[in-house]
Amino acid sequence: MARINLDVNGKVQTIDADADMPLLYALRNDLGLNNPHFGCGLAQCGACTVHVDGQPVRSCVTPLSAVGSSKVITLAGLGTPEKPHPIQKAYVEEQVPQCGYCINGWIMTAAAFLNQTKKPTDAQIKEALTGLKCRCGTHMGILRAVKRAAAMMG
Amino acid sequence: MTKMEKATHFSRISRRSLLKAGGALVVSLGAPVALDTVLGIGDAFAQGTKPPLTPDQLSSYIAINADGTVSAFFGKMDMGQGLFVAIGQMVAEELDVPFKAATVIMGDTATSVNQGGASGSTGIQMGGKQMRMAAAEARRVLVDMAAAKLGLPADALAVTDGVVHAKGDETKKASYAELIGGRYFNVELDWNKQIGNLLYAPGKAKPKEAKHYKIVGKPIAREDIAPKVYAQEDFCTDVKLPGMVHGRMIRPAVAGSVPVKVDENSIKDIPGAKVVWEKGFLGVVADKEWGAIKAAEKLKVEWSDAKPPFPDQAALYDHIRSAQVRKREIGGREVGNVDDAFKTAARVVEAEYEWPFQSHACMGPACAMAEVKDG
Repeated sequence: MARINLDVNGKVQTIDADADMPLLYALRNDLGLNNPHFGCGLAQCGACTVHVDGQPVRSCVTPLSAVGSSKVITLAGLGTPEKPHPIQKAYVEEQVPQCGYCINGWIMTAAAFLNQTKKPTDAQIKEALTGLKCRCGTHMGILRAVKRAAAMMG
Repeated sequence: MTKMEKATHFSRISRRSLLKAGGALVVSLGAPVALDTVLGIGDAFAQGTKPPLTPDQLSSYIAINADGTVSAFFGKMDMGQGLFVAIGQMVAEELDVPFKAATVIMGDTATSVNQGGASGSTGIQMGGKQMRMAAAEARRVLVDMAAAKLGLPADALAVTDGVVHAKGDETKKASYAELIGGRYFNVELDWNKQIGNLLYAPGKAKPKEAKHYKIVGKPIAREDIAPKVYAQEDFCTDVKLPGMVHGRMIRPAVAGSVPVKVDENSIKDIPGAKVVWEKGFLGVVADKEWGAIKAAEKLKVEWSDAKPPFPDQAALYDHIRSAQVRKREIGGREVGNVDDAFKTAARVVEAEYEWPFQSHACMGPACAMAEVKDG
């Protein structure tokens, strides 16, 4: 056990945890942020995705020791109903999710991608979102939402 | 607005408060029913105390609240299929009330009968079928009650937005709220004695023909989307209770193998870690989730030998092909003739397809929560 500082959604908080514990459990259990989900635990589905210094990262396999003082943003920190990230706004407008369990992976990965890629093609979007899983099969809705968000972001 | 109640919230609110939250003042709080209530208009159809929650009672599916809004008690669960909207549409359609006047309440065995699981796209085709019949019967009963009150034949009446009125003279009217609001239907349905997906209990009413639909078939936005997108909704795995411990199951490498020896000392360094072992069931609990995960990894277990009669992976499709065929009658209607179609086909494509043999698993891990109270 060690005292570890974590910078999450703009707030630095201290927790007692093993340095080898994956970030996911610190977020969910120590900081009470339920949004990143455990899906596979093997970095294969993406349900646990958060941003670490702006990059989409699978928090289920990222030990706290690798996070250090990096800035972590979760879905709850990405945007709010009052101040949504364009991809969140587009997700609601396109009524994308069914169960929504996988939503962190798609939204956080797409948000990081859109922050770096303006006016992406369909092929670029599909390439960027490879490696994410949606068990409900909402993929075409996701594609529409990412295109809608890209249009909002100009 | 269609109010949503999620199963995950139930641990925090009492069932009675849930019923109230559903808009229903129809909850009997144990007070004796006044005689004038029982002898009121439509006393054959309405009463103050709730009939038993059985599949043969109309009140098990539909209630008209004191304000005229409708509560629909659905015995399946919306797992993201949009059933809160779809069932609400079907019920509102049959009852001729606005979509927003119907609230679907589901996910609690204390408020709805067992209409089966959430799997297999059965929500509408099986669960919805019953809700449609129940709502149609509720409308028929309400129109009959209005006919008695207004002194007009039932077929001279129409319903608009929850108000029964004479066709061509909307001043002769009785609202659902006036007719039965706040009291229960006391109407028996023709239940087929099945529960789950096969449950079917129609009344005397015929549901509407599709060509008369005004609400069904219209796209209506779901209210659970935004809370999911903004991380404001809890899933079952997210619910936390004070003093809760986390658990993990420990599975054998081979089916049929059971624990023979378990070394509890192997996890003694993990805070709160304990072994839960009963016959073939083995699990661990710990104060924190990460502790439970580590304990599950670290626990030293000796397993019994087991040689399950599984086919070799390489021979899997041969095994499936030679398995005994179990025919399932699905009913339905036959159209056309297969043999004739082949004979007259412009081109016949012959191919062999193998469906991957894989787990029909969910995205998140199966999860359960137990709260032990009062003993």
